[in-house]
Amino acid sequence: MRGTFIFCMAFFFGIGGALYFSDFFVYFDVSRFIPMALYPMIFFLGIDFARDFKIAYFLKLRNLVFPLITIVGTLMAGMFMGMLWPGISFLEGMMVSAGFGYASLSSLILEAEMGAQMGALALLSNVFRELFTLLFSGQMARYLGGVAPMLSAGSNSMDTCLASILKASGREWLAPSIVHGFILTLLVPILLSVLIFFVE
Amino acid sequence: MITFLQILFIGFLVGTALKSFQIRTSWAGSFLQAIVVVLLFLMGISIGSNSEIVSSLLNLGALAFLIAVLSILMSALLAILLKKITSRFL
Repeated sequence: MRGTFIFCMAFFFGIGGALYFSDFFVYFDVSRFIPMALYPMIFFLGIDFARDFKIAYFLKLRNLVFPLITIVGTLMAGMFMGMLWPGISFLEGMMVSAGFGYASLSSLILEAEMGAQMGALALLSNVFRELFTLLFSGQMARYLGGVAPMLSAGSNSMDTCLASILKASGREWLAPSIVHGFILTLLVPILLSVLIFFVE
Repeated sequence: MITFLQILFIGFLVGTALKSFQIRTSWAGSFLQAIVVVLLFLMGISIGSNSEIVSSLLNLGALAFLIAVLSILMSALLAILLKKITSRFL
């Protein structure tokens, strides 16, 4: 959670700075630096993946069903909102939801490939998702079943939201949560690549 | 865009190799966070200097809120539905 707070502060300081020094940034477009730094970022993400990877967790079929539910539910929601809301297409709605709560990565990819508006949308939407999970996982477990906090956390279910998931649903959700978070985090760049490919 | 996946895979291989040689890779996560903070700051600047987006930020926030809530609810409802159909997995 502390990480997400720092990310949001950096983002809003950026907006504030740009509004304050607006004369300067009109002539100096900083957004062209973002694609350059995306590649090292994804490389380190790969190294980070290898650290958490335990093959035994992935051999249980039951653990692999949960990510599938989250993917279908989330993409359906994004598609639905994209069709309903004026100004964005259903594919763009799916892209925003395809962050699965991983705000930093999805917003930076969408900013680089689709423009600043999609980046802002993805950042806000995925931060909201993480925030709701942290705030309401207890209520979710009570009213929607023990599986709900994990599905709600999306890709955060293996790191930032893990503690609140286990507190709300019980210790037996440890292995499913880690597999769920790992698969969804891995899927964020893959799904976004596929969806951006469809748009172009 | 396919290069994203190649780079991710190379990173994963490097990480696995480092792990098998007992070299610590926990710094990769903190390094990643540092890059992300700088990038999000730049992203904020590029959004803040685009007056069209600043004026529609409230609208975007509402849409982002709805997508987040609907994603959570639809996933949970799908899980409940699946549990009704088959109680084997859930």
